[in-house]
Amino acid sequence: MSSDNRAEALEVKGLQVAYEQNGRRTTVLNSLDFKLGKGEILVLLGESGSGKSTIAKAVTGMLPPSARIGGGSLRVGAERIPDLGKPGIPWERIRGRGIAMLFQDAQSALNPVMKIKDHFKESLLYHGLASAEGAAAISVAMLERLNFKDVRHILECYPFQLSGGMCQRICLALALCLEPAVLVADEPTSALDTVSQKEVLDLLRKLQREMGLTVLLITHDIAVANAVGNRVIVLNKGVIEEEGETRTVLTRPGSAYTRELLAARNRIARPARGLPPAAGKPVLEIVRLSKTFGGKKRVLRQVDLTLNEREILGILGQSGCGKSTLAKCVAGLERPSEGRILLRGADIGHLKGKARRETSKRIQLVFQDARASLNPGRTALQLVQEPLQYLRIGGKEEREALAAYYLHEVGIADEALTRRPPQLSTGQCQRIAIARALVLRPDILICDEAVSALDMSVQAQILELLQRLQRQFGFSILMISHDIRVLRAFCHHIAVMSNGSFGERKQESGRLHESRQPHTQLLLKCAGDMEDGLV
Amino acid sequence: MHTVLLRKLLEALLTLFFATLIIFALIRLAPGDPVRLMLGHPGEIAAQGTSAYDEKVAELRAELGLDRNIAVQYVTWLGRLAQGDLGTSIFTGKQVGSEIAARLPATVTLSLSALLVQIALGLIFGMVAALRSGKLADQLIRVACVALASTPAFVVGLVALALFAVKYGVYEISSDFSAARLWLPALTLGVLGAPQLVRIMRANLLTEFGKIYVSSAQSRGLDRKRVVRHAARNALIPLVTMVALSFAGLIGGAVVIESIFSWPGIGKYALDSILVKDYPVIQGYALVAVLMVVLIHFLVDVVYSALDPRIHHKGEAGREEKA
Amino acid sequence: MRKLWSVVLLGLSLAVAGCSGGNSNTGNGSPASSSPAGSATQSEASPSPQASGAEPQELVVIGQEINASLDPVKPLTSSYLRNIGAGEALFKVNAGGEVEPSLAESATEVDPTTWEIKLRPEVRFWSGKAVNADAVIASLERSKSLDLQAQPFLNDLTITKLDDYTLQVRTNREHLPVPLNLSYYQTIIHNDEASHEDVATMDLTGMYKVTEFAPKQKMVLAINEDYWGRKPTIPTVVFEEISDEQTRVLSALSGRSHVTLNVPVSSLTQFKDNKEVYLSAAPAASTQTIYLNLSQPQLQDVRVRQALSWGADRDELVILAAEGQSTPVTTWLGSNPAYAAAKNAVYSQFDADKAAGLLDEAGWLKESDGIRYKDGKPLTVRLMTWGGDKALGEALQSQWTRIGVKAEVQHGDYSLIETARESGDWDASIEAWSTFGEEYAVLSGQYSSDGGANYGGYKDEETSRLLEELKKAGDPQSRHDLALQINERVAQQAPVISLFPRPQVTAVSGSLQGFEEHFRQFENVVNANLTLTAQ
Repeated sequence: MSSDNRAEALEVKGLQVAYEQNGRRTTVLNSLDFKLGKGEILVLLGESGSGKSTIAKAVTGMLPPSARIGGGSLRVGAERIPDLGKPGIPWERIRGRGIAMLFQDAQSALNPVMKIKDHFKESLLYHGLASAEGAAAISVAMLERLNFKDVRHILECYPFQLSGGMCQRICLALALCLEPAVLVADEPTSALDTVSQKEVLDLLRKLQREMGLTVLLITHDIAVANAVGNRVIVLNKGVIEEEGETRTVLTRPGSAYTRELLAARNRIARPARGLPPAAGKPVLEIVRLSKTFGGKKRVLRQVDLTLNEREILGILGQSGCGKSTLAKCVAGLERPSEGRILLRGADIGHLKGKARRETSKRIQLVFQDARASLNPGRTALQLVQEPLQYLRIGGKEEREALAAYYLHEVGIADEALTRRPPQLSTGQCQRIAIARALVLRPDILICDEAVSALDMSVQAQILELLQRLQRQFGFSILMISHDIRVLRAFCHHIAVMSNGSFGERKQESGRLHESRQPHTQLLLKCAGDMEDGLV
Repeated sequence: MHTVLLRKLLEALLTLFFATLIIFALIRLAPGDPVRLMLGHPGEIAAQGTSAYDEKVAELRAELGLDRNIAVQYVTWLGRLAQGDLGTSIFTGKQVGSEIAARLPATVTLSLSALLVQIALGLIFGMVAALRSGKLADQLIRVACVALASTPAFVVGLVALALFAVKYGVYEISSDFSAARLWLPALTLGVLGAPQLVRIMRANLLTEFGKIYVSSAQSRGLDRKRVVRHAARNALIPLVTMVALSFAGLIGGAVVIESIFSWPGIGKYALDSILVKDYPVIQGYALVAVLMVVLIHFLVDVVYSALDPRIHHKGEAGREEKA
Repeated sequence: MRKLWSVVLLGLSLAVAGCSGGNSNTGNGSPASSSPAGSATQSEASPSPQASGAEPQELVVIGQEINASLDPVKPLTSSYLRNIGAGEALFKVNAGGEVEPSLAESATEVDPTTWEIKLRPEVRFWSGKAVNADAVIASLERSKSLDLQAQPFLNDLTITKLDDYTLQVRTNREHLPVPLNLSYYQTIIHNDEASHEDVATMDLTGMYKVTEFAPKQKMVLAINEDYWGRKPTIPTVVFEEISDEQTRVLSALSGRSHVTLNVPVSSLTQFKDNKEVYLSAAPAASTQTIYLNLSQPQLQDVRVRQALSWGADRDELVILAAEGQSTPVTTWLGSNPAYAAAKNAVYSQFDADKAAGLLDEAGWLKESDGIRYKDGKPLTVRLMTWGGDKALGEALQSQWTRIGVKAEVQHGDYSLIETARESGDWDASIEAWSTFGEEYAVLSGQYSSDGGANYGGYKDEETSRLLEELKKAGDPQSRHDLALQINERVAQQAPVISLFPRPQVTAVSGSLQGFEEHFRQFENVVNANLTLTAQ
């Protein structure tokens, strides 16, 4: 690594960044200083808008053209940059070998049309670290070090053939084989399910121990910070709120803001459920449902599930286990290959045309990426009216009144009614998506990872909102998530899915730990480990 | 795999069937009678008494089977087609199949050369425009593209001829199909078709530049050239369709350029035949054109899956392997 | 990337392969086409058989269209064969309009219905077969039975053999100008036993033999070494079709083509300052004529028709629609050199007042909008034009509008005019039939009630009576006088309105000597006196 023998691997001083759009300037970082010691894992903890990702981009010279650097110096190992605002910085020398990066969406961080081995080869050859044959050996060694088993096969794969967790580990290997002085990881595990998350974080700690890896880890997730951080910096609106040893900061927070963050988290952890379910009164019954894609890929195998009236049922599973396909089948977006889906006793799995439209009214979906599910050109009020127009419900005024009512119910302020998605926050977008689903008075609301992308505090707000609405309107909820904590707090029952089927019947969420399914136990353990020590 | 091929083949046959059926019906609905057009070339002395003429018309119509019901004519045509016979031209009495075969090389050569020019220009200028997005070079390329795209083909062709054949004397205006005569129509056609490729290449590249794998490649310390190459490979894939469509368009639509440069391809042959309503030739031409388009689309599928691993590895996405 | 390049390379090689393949295709293995791929800068660099350093000579003739077939009985084919020196008829018409012997040696009128034609014993077909009485009779019989357009010239003749080189021609009518009939290109003499499908087997008598032929593209000819008459000196003739008129003009300007036929009048200015090319504008013996549909109510009144003729300012039309390359003609026969006296008959000069007077008289009165009305209906004339007559149509429209006629122009495909004629739904259209030929044939085709060109349904007793007289008339003078009388009668009745001889512009290279202007240029380009000098 760096021949410099000073204790700091990275030092940032007086970093000032603002974004300029349509002549308006928004300051994101205001004179920020921090240091990163060699072999240390420093966590930058903050909610969206705190400027944490801007730091990652600023130290790698990858800020968008709209960014204005007011000042700041950077030192990476022996490389010093006195003024980051000046053009002509030799970034190509710093990137890769000085600072390497991990991105949130690892699958997208790899070139989709290149084999894994070619990624390695290109990097190693370009940096003159190996010959063509040497590159293969290095990549094999590196991947083995990162717990890959069938390395030769992996190297021949394309990114899309691998899971998100595997891609993130490959990105890590790609970064590490260049022996960087610092690894900047921007939300490296947020897109991963609990098991993969745990695996990547464990790896980071292992590499820190074994190779003295230095990491600047950027996250919004307190559990992630808890799991890996030596030190943590809490960032709020571009300003450091608090800095210190992880354990200290997370258990005895010094600043009010940190306390708020922790409180939001705990709010989720505290079970506060909606109306009790009406046992024995099924609204939805799934009987031996199977779904096969392209004649060979079985995604769902003989799934049985019952959802009672007013029940909030969680479906827990890792990415790729088939839970989203199940949601799509129920919502009528996919046609089941076998089996039946009964809505109040009537099979809805194979409906067409008008009948299908009628059922779609009774089962509504809320997606993970709410912003992407909303037409950016329409106002909140128009968006909520869309399904009414589509199904020709009510007159123009009636529709508008209904939309306004539900928007009010989900907590959208009157002045935001005429705003469009780009002018709204992610949380607001999710609220609009919920209002749009509820305006049809559905029997069942399916939430497919509806809170996974949200900040902790917003997550808590949305979950509380859903519970309140469920109490008010009495619908059932099918909550799909990989986040065991969210489901445990939110749902009456949880069913664990793996590999396209439920290993056992749904459990009361409070008694999930009693499950004898090894997979359920693994999920519980991963989540537990990461939270270990947190109150 | 076999079922896929079979399905594609069936699709192609259906396309051919309907396309030819539509053309068959349409050309017969259009005003003008091939027999009268053939016999009644104006320019000489008008005959007195038209009974001989009318008799001859009726006789020829019967001989050509034009007096029969359209459906019968179509079935007859299909029957002959099944035996590999495209029929004979009403005007020249020559085999349509061999006439088209004799002209197809000229058109394919011109189209392919033009396509190469188009691709070269599209890639180079599209890339320059994307890399210099918003800067002067980008603006200039945009202005040039708009100007070219809004200039009719015949104007560009005639200006090119006036310059290279008349002013500089480096191009020969003749009716030959020869290598020495290829460059100017190919360049003209290529330049005319390039703007849309330039614009799409630019847009694709800019989209790719915004993707994470590009930032990721950048973050691995790769130089600009390599980073651009990452993006370019992905930007090129959707271009294959564009290029194929453009090629199909060139084969069927190079008529104007073929006419201006008197390039002896099927475009000119078809145009001449359309003017005199030479049904068998028009039908044969349409069949060949549709066939080419079907073929090109089939090739696109092949090239696509060669370029994009996601297609031939379909169904393997997101495999949950525990390694 | 590599895959992409291989695709590109594949395309490139295909292109090259296609190109070379095509070359050998057009080559036909004949020596004259030996270097189609020669450098474009040396357009006349094809190797000459006499390689003694002499300028290799090739006469390049470019037309709007060339033959689609080699068989003289196919429509128009014989005109191109005649034009380029490959085919000959028994007689020909010189530039002065006089009939001269060609393949025949002489012709004498034995009695009013019998002619005797002497053939030349030295004439041979290209194959060497003698052109004797049997061969000539067989050729003419073949034309008569297979070429509809030859029938008007041959139907009235019965040809028998007197001896091997003497023919006797009996005519149905008295004083038929048999040599004139046998001068039309439709009667060119060909070997009826030969197959005219192919260059190798076709058999004509001309000074040039066809050596290479691509239908509607190109014909290459070489000197017929056994030609009976004066042999030409330019060894090779290339006759090419370039259908685009602008390209044809550019070809003439580029200096490649020595004779360029059908130069559009609109591009005359392009030749203005050119010293290497001159324009030949021999007036053609065909009159641009408006045919009126006499079954339309407003056109049944002869005064309206006359008014339309008086109201056409022919001097202006010649300038606007023919770029001054013609002269006004007020009666139909005026474009025939023999009837030049009829040029200004009847409508001696443009007279709008006279037109107005006639229309007033006919009850069509001008209203405030400048249009004439009768019984509340406007006086309309819809003029259909096609091809190069768009400008002419528009000029007429504005002239007629000035005399209060609501004129409309419909420019389109010729088939539209044909369709309109069949349905009867048309007012006026423009044609330019040849005025040259035997008087009765020419005039009866236009003005007898069953004339092929009597589109408007003109039926006039006086005209029919005169035509009958003409049919019987014996001596040339009385025929001439009768033709003039008919011509004048028709002009007065005005079923048609004659405007000017169709302009016929040919671009001729200054390096070509011996080019002869002809009023039927389309069949008279190549002659034995042509020579080329180096430019």
